[in-house]
Amino acid sequence: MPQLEFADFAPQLVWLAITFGLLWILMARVALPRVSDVLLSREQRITNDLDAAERLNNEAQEALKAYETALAEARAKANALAVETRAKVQTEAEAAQAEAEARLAERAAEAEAQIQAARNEAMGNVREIASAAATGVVTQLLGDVPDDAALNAVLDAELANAGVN
Amino acid sequence: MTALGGTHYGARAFKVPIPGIGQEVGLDERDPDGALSEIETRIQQARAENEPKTEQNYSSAGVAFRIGVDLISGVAFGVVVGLALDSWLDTTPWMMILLILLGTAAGIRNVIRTAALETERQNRQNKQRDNR
Amino acid sequence: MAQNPLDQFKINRIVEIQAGGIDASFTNSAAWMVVALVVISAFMIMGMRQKSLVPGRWQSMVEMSYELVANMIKDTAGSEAQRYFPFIFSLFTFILACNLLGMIPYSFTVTSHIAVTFAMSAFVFIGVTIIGFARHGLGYTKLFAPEGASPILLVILIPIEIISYFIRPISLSVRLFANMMAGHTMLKVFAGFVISLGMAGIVPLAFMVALTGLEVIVAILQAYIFSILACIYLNDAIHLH
Repeated sequence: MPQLEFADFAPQLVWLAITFGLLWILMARVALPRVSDVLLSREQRITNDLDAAERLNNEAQEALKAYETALAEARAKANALAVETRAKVQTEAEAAQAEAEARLAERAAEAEAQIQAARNEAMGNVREIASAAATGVVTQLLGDVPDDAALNAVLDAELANAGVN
Repeated sequence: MTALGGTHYGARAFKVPIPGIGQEVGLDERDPDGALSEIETRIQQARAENEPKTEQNYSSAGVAFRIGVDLISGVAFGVVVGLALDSWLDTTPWMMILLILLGTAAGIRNVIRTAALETERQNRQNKQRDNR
Repeated sequence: MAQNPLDQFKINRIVEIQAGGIDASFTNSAAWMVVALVVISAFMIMGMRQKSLVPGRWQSMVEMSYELVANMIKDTAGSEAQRYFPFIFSLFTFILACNLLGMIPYSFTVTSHIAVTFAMSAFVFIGVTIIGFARHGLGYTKLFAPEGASPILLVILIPIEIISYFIRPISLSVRLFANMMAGHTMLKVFAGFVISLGMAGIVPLAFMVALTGLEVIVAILQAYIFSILACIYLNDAIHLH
């Protein structure tokens, strides 16, 4: 078995010491510190990021709450305003309507009075025309001018009968 | 885990009805709380993942490999040292017999120690798992 | 290829060197130790040259090896053993590299020599013993006296404990050496079959492929066992059970 050649032990051990010693130094001084640096900084970074995420999340929660309160306030204000406006509009409309109605009533009364006057005038003319016509007819028929009193009496009766006056 | 943003978050944000006159909107109808508490769960999860991990179970297979050699080297030690002592003290074969016995016992002792260590390690691991 | 399956373990002197009466010749074994040193250093240092926060595949492997050994030490020997981390790491990677480099055809397996494995285990053994005595003084000898045993029993138990302590480096080195040597001898024997059987050699060839896979696992496992046992001994020295 070549493993039991004692003459070969020394060179193996010498080179084992050299290579392993070198490896040990390289790992301890160069390689491993670099790895641990990176691992540490990554852990630090992740922890920081998580903290930041949590903080931002809390801020978002607060913002949401503030938003909700603001929204509720605004809605309440809008409601109040709406109610007020509606009331105001209604009062104004009612006032305007009342005014218009009053004006209309006035105008109607005026018109009625005018009509009455016109009618009365017209009625007066009717009597005159009827009187003239009756005088004319009687004169033509009888050849004689009728008595004024008798004519007036007949006219009054007829007009009353026709419902004028 | 639902992805943040996109349709999920956006649709919710835009679902807010325009507040009409005298119309009451329930606050929970918007439910942005859902999205925010989801973020919270995700942060917790990420934190748990960032915790230093405990050892994985590599060495169980190695235990079987260890035990045989432990026993043999005990006996071999007894033979070699016993023979050397015998030739030095001229007590052939008594020192060898004694040392083979002691060596075997020592080998068994090492096997027991290995097994005990392994059990202890597994118990510790189980405990850690249960604690989580 | 040599016919004798044991020829692969032969030490060949490449450059004869004599230093102070010691034969320090540069042999094939030394050459593969240097290869292992170069491979590990390149792997560790080149892999970390970017030091990026989000690691690439290579850097991930470097970090994985770092964390594997770091966890091994922490779990078996506690956090006080962290100062021995560079040594355990070098030990693990050196054995692993030597074991795996030995898988390459026509290469030489440094760890298949008892002189090398015993030197490493003896170094661990002596180092651990020094650490134990430095930490606990003569109290370290309590390691050999199980608590609560009667004096008569102690007469038997103490020699057993002492022997079991001293056979640690033997079993440590023999385990690694025997595993590597047995595996490589077997591979060489089957390789001989493949050649001598000609066409029918396809059967041992298939077996050899499977065996090579197994050997890779054994190479990794043995490196791991060697270093975890070093950690366990370190634990004894630091904590006295």
